[in-house]
Amino acid sequence: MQIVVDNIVKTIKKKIILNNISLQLESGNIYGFVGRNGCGKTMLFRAISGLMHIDSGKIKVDEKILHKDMPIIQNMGIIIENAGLYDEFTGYKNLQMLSKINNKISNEDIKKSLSDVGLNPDDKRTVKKYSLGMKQRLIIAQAIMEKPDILMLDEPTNALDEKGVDIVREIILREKKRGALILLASHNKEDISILTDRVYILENGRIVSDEKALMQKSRVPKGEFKI
Amino acid sequence: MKRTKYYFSAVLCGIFMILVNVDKTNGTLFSEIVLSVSYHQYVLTIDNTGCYDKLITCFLPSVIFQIIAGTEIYRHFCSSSVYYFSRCCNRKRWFFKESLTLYFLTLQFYIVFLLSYTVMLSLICSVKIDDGSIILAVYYIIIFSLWNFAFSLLINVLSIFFKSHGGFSISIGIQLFFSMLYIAFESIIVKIYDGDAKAELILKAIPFSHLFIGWHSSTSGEINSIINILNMNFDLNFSVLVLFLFAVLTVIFGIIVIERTDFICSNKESGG
Repeated sequence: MQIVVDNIVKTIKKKIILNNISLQLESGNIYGFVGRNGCGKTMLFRAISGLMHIDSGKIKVDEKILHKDMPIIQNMGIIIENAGLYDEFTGYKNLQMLSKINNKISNEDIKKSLSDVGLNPDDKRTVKKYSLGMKQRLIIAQAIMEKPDILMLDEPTNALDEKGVDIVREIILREKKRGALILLASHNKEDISILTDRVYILENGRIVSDEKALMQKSRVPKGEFKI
Repeated sequence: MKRTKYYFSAVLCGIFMILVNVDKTNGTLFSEIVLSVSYHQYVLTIDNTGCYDKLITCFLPSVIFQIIAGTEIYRHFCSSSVYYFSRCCNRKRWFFKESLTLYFLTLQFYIVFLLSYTVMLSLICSVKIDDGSIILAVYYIIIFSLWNFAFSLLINVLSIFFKSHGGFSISIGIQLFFSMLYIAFESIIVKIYDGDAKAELILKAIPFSHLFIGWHSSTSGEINSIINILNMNFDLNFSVLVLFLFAVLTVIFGIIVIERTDFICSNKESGG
């Protein structure tokens, strides 16, 4: 799969959120996106996924134009920061409801995804009673359960304990090996340096730097990104 | 959609109607029951204060239904829009299917409501099924379900812009505005009794009038003898057609909105 983002612009309430962004993304790679809160990472993910319309520019997925030839990117797994699931259902029921939209996977696949992220598929508690870390694990499970061609992960290690972070990193690398195209936005420097092949730095809706991850690793000190 | 809450609230509304009509002990006709839940026979005017309580009583099941159903579709936008719609390639088809489900729920709500009210009333007094009353009940269910479906759907769609409380307020506001029109046109409407054609036209033009089953006429002599209190040409089928078109327009409006909506906020209620 190849995604070409060509000069996309998005303005919301007269504020430019995405400013002439161009990218070329290919399967089997992990692309890191870093920048301050509000720099446009999440909006870029929403635009690339097709969940948000753009004002100008083009997004091509394997030569098909988004919003013209297809409404959203098909077979995509997505995690958006702060986006929740249905509080009144169990984790398993939540994933089951989502899986029924495309009917691509079995209940066993759902259970396996829950186990993969360290959640008990038979847990009868509703999501309302989950801890933040459990909710995050559940959201990761929904993103990977259908073995998507493209994964967009916005702060996937948020609210996770050390063990949870390790599990997620393993999953991301496993998905890369499977051939998925992965977009990763994170404030966690380690996530970016360990996982990504290329890093884009965003500022005020623009890409201000585009570097191979190895260079990034040697340049940025340990801890959180402070750009 | 969980149906139990709809059935439960429909039965509760039936119980409420029993409490309001507890004085009915001498027996009643089924057609009277249908008329009693469809705004009776009154023309709303400022002076005619006796009908306000009846109006509120009849409006209550609609309000309760709209509270429950008003965010049934919208909650997908509110709670898990990103995860839901990142999998849903055809939002138009999805919305149409959801609308259809909502309509059948509305239909079931009014069937359960009318049945529970009738069955419970038959426990305290005799209820006689009179000629034409079953068909009249079918008209009542269709007309009220179309009206409430359209307004519930409108709440769902408007909530995307104004959040759920905004959508509900606007929708209920529109319905109250329609009812206020009777007062605004009071001086003209009272002339209906003198056979004033202009007054008839104004009355029919007020959308709320379609809910007053008793004001309608019917080509069936049996039904016409039960209703048509104002003795004007206001066919029940015409109201079914008008409300059906209104419901279709609401669905089309919803499809356009849903197709063009950007998923900017993760949670439409909290704005996060």
